Amino acid sequence: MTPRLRARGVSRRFGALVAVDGVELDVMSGEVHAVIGPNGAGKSTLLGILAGEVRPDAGEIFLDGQRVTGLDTARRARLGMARSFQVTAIVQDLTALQNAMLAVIAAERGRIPGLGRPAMADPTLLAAAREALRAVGIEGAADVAAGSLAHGAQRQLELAMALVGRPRVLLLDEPTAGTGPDEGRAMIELLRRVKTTPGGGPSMVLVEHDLDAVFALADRITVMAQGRVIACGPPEAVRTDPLVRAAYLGDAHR
Amino acid sequence: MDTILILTQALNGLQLGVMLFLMAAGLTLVFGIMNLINLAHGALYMAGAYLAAAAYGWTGSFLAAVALAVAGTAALGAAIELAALRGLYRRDHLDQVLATFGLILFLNEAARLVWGPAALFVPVPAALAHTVAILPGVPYPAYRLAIIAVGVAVAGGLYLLIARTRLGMLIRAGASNRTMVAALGVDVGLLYTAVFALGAGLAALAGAMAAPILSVEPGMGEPILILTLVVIVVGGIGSIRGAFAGALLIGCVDTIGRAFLPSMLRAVLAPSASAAVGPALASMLIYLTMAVVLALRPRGLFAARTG
Amino acid sequence: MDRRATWLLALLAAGLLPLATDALGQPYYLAFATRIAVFAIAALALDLVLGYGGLVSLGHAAFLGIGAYSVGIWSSHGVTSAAVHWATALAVGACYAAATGIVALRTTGVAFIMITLAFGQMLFFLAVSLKAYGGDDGMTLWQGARLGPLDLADDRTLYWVALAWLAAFLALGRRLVAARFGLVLRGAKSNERRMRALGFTPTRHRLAAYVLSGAMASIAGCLLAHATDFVSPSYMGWQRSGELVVMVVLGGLATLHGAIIGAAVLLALEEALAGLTVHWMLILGAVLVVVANVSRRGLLGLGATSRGPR
Repeated sequence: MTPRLRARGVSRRFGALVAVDGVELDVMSGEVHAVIGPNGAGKSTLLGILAGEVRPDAGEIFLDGQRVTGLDTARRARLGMARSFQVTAIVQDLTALQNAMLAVIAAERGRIPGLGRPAMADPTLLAAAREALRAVGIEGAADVAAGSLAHGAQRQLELAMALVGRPRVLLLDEPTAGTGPDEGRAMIELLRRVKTTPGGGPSMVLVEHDLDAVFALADRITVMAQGRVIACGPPEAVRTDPLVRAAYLGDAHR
Repeated sequence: MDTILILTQALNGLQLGVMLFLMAAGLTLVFGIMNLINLAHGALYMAGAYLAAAAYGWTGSFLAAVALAVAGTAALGAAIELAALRGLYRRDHLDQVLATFGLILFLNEAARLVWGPAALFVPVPAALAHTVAILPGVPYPAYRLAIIAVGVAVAGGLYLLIARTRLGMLIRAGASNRTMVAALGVDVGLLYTAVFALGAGLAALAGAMAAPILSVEPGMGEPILILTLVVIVVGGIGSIRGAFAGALLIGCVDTIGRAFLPSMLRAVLAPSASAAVGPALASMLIYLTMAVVLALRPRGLFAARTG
Repeated sequence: MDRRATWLLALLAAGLLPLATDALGQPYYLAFATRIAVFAIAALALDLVLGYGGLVSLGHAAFLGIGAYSVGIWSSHGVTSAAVHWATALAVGACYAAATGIVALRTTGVAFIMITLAFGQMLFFLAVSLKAYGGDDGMTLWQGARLGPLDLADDRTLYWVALAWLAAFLALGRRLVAARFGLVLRGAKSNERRMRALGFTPTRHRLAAYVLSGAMASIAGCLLAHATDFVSPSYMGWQRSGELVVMVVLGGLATLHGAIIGAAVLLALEEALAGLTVHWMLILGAVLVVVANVSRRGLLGLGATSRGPR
């Protein structure tokens, strides 16, 4: 079976630093694939390469067997690759609803955004945007400026925007970062629901520091250290891998 | 085409280039370190020219006049930085545009108030008022050669300042990482004022040296400001090396284009057409150069940093 | 006062103005109002890219020049039809905006400011070198423009025509910014990275807005030439571009009607200061420095902040 998302021999250096070094990654359909590793392991760079924000020096990226290496972020997004950022990226001075509307407009495809009917009076657009907010449980905050939402709600809004248009792949950069314990648990629960969406959820690449979140969600885990993949497998196998314990888990618990 | 003319025009281009470098170095430093777009940089050039003209009148010595102009404008720059620009570093570029546009109006009008609307003319210093034979039988004004020499010397000095001194180290660090400089325990406010005053002094040097070859009048800073903006866009905003390369490129393209483009067009177009198109195209040449550079390298020849 | 009442009042005032200036025997103020309407159109066009798109164009006076020279060049060849002038201005303005926009929009932020300023200056020098059309000195238009039965040399007719253009552009602008297009433009201004991750290519929307804005401002240039019967490179000097930015900022960004208020305030301020002293630019310059340092939202913003958060 063709993996949904595949990275082949991906490398990227910044000056003398090799941030990502010959990484291979296969993410299957519907799989939650966590990428973990100590700080500076190259996880975020890898995510950037997958999303098309960082250009790799070598290697190829395939989406459902189609080569997307040369495509920019916007083109990949239109092919069904959505993402969240480590620092929440929402449009701060628009309302939560307007943010969701932007995601809906992006998913409408094709036409250059209409000059016709006022967006705020377009029932189809509004309904779809409200639905997106409801899916992550923040419909009550629809008319609040996104920038003044609580941090956890901002992350939920970002996820809501990423989910509009039912992406094939969801790239998540530390979705629980900066949230309180309750907000973090709520985010894990939300992602679990996304994973079990009726009709199949998106494949997810989850870069995460919080190992509770990782073990709660991941079907498989790839462990990186110093830009390389040092282990890949189901959570139990990774948890007991001596190489991983030495390079990462031991490190984290020292 | 005759080689003597080419040589003369190349020197003219070089002379414009070093002037532009003096302007661009200050502007690009101020942007690189304080993230400030200072449209009033041309007004500081004008201030340098006026102060030089006035000081020449008092002292009778051109050297003293230039020194006074540079020192006075540096002080003026520091005062402006403290009074009007300090609060704008973290703000939108739009607020900076508004404030520095206001400063242009203010300074131009202040010059008109003090020295009147008519242009002042400053004589070329007697010691340099002759020509030098750069090749046998090819005379070139000594004063313009002196400008080139001073410009090159200042470029070298600036390089040493930035590469070798503590201030230079802070400038380099500040251009790439502002918060880091603050974390080093440096008085950032003082550094900013010093950099702004340095930029003002360089602009004044250019203005003072230009005083004998241009007319000194209100608004004289803006044409050179716009050329300077082209220079730093071409060179890469925030990069001193880029400013140097951009200044020489734009200086030469502009001078040589104006000198030779019309006659080159005469070779391919009818005389009446080339007479109409030639000057127009020559005056647009640097902007077209800028467009080409940006089309190939959107961040300029020497992109200094991201963001 | 609610919004609709404010608009109605503004419309009523605009309608009664010619009667009032007639009654008072002050035709000068009618011409002054026309001038405000003309600059309001240009400022409104600029607000579309500056306020909504976050693109600080410091070269918008170039479009005034394109409009003015469309009138001037046609008139000097005996073509006095305003329809021809306007169509030319719209087409040339849009093409120039597209050509320079493609280059300038490869950059953002401060580089965009510098490049638009440079391109504006390029057009200025082009106009200076047009010796056949007055060069540096500009040229006087001896024949007034006509639109069918309307004679635009008549002050009152021109006032109505300028007002009609302003109303049309205001309506068009409001429609645009309320549509999907406006939402995308504002999203890209505030968080480009998110917009790209959603699949937008914001440059296209910005270019569309820039081209539209350029075409609108070119019409303002035509009207300026109709109003002054004179065309010169000074119409597109960089100072004029700066004034347009000042108008938009004074009136409040991203409001459209704020641009109209800003145009009225700046022109009235210039007029009042000029009556006070020949060195009025000294005062205006200082005012701008203070406004930039104190207020973030222009004059309307000053009022809004004093009334607490919105």
